[in-house]
Formats: sequence, structure tokens, C-alpha cells
Amino acid sequence: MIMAALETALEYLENGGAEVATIAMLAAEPENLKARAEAVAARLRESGADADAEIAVGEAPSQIGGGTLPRSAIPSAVLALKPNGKTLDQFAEALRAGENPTIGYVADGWMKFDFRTVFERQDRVLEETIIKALS
Amino acid sequence: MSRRADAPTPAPSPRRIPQVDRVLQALADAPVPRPLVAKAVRAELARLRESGGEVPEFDALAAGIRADLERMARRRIMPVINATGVIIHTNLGRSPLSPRAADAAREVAASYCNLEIDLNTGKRGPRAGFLEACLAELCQAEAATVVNNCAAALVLILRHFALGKEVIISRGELVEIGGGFRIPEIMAASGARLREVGATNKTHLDDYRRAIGPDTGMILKVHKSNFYIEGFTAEAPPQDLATRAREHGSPFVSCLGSGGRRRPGARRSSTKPLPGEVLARGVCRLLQRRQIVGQSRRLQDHRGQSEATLPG
Repeated sequence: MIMAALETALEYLENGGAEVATIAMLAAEPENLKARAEAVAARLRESGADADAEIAVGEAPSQIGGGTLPRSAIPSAVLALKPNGKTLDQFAEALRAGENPTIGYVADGWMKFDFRTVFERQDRVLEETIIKALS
Repeated sequence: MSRRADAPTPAPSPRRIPQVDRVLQALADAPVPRPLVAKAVRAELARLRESGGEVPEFDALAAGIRADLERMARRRIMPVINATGVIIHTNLGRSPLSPRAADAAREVAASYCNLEIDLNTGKRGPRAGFLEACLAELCQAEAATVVNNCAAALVLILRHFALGKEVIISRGELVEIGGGFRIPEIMAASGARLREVGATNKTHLDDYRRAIGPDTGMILKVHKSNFYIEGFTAEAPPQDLATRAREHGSPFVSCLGSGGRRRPGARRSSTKPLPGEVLARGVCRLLQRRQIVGQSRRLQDHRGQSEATLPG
């Protein structure tokens, strides 16, 4: 089973690797990531989530890996939220508790969502998860 | 006048511990397998019995057990959205498979497959011939194979090439990696003898040169993959180590520790060597994540071997 997956993965590497999820993530342009973050931010505001949290879009570095490549920073775009009614810990817990557990990171007093590691197909689900976690 | 009216009001009788079956019924739709529900219920009721304290209301009791079971169910492996920005996140399952690779795994998992039969001849065949050929090509190696991880690859290599012999390694490279694997312990478990040379921050070619002798089984280089040493530092160039090992007739093994196959892009900095580059410098064998141990024809005459791996 693992071998079948590896064989297939190696086939695309021969073709430049665009189909390999991690390679596609590495290659994603920060402008495109920012556009996605802004689209989600706009929809959050439309849904009234800005009553429950301060909403911003900004720049922050992604990393290739934690353990094996601790110094690999790549420019990326984040959606940043500061909830009004709950602490960041409570917000993080609510994000993990839903049907689609979501893991962001806390920096400078904001909960940040880096779009480089979120698959584009997950943008809507991320948005719904955030709305539920804020309420 | 009835006597009953005069009787003192009896103290409310303590609530009795409910029957296991009744609690089980109330938890019929708990999101974990039935035997685990039963185990949790029995444990909770036994705890109440032993504590001798007040028994909570039935609904509260059932709700408490349900909450525990729901927490347990959240420990099942399930997809999550990774918004951390760490692309290869160890706690979040590292690299996701592409849909096509996942389909290939699923198709084979639910069927029999040609694991050890060569469909061309109908005879028993090698396990991973196609995979190994692709991988070797990808890493510009002469041969390659796949094992679980770097630690496993290292154990296999040490056991095969250095059982009872000395393995020369820099004192700056006695690392611990994820899962608590430590180089000296891996070496002890493999039956090889650790021969440390140099210092934490500096190890020179001469240090290796002085240590090489009749007991030498291998020179090992372990890349600093999860930490950095900066400042007053030195390490021996791998190509010189390879030459020295070849002169002595011992393998030179390089443990890269991660699976990068190419530079992520000009603007992204990484100093980590890539498999092809390392092999080109004359390294005999190379270990990377999700590991490949390769053996070349050259291995047999001990002039060198090659090996490489797959992106983790």
C-alpha cells in the first residue's frame, strides 16, 4: 500500500512534481495566498463575524518543516483574528472541537491562519469553522 | 389521627448506584466501540462504589461518562485543516499524499497485489523493483531502497557493515532526532562500536585520519538536520572523508535526515545538501527520511556504495 503510493508519487516527481501536494504548497505565490485570505476575511465580515472578532489579513512566514528544516522561512499570507468574547486559548479549543478540526497558530496576540498549508478546497470549510468557533 | 402523620420525616435515602445495563442503554449512541463504553461505565460505577460518596443523578452520571467517551473519540485519526504554515508538520501527519497517490494506495490496499511476484515471468520477484529504480534515478544514485525512517536505515547499515567494528563519527554529530532516537544508542543497538572524534564545534579531517585503523568498519556523517552550531566551527569536507574511507576500504555513510530532493527555489534559502550532490561528492551511502538504502555493484569491491531516499 505504501509502496503503491510512493511509486505514484515518484512518477509525478519525474513530471516536475506539480501534483505533489507539498511541492505545490511550496510553490504557491504569496499574492495568491493573500487573495484567498482576503476573500475569506470578506465573507467572514459579510456573515457578521466582525462583531465577534477583529479581522485582518497580513504577511507572515511559512516554514517547510519544524524539526528537519527549522530555519526555512517562506513569505506567506495569513488571516488574523482577535476574538472579543473569548481568549485565544478558548478560540483555539473551539477550532479543534468542531467537525473539521482546524489548527492555526498564535502570534502577537492574534490567532493566525496561514493559507499556504490550507488546501484551496478547504477555504469554505475553514470559514464555516471559524464562524462556529467564534459564536 | 393516623400514626403516619406523627412519624418523623425520613431522611432522603441516598441515591443508589445504577445498573450497568441501564447506563449502557443511555450511552447506546456513544461514538466509540461498545466494549470501550462498557469498560468506561464499569470503571465509573466501581469508582463511585469505592468512594462511598454521593451518587449523582442518573442523567448527570451518564453525561459525565459520555463526555469522557467523546474526548476519547476525538483521539481517533481524522483529517484536520493545517493553518499553521508549517508544510511538513510532524504533529499533523507530515506530507499529505496527492489524490492520485492516495488512490493508488487505496486500490492496492483493498485487493491482492503483485508484492512478490514478477508478472513477466510468473516467478517470485523482488518486492519493490519499480519503486527502487525510480528512486535511484530521482536521487542520481546507482541503487536505492525504502525503509521506515532514517533510524531504521541506520540500524540496518550499521548491523550489516559495522557489526563489532568501530564507526568513526564527529562529536558534533551525536544527535537525537524525533522519537528519542539517539545516534550512540542506535549504534549500541546495532552492535557497532562508537568511535568519537573531534569536538562539539570542530572536527577536522586529521581527527578522522588518526582514528582510522584495523578496527574501523565505517565513517559516518550525520547531518545537523534539526539544530545549528554557529561561530567557531569546522567540519571535514565530505568528499575528503569519502576519499579517506575508500583508501581504507571502508564505506562512508552520510545520514541526511530529510527528504529534500531539490532546492525549493532561488529566493528560499536552505543549506541542506541534496542527495544527488552528496552522492556526486563520493559518499557511499546516504540516508534520508523514509529511507533508502542502496547497494551498488561497487559496493562489493568496497570502493563505494550509494543510496538515497524519497521526499518525506
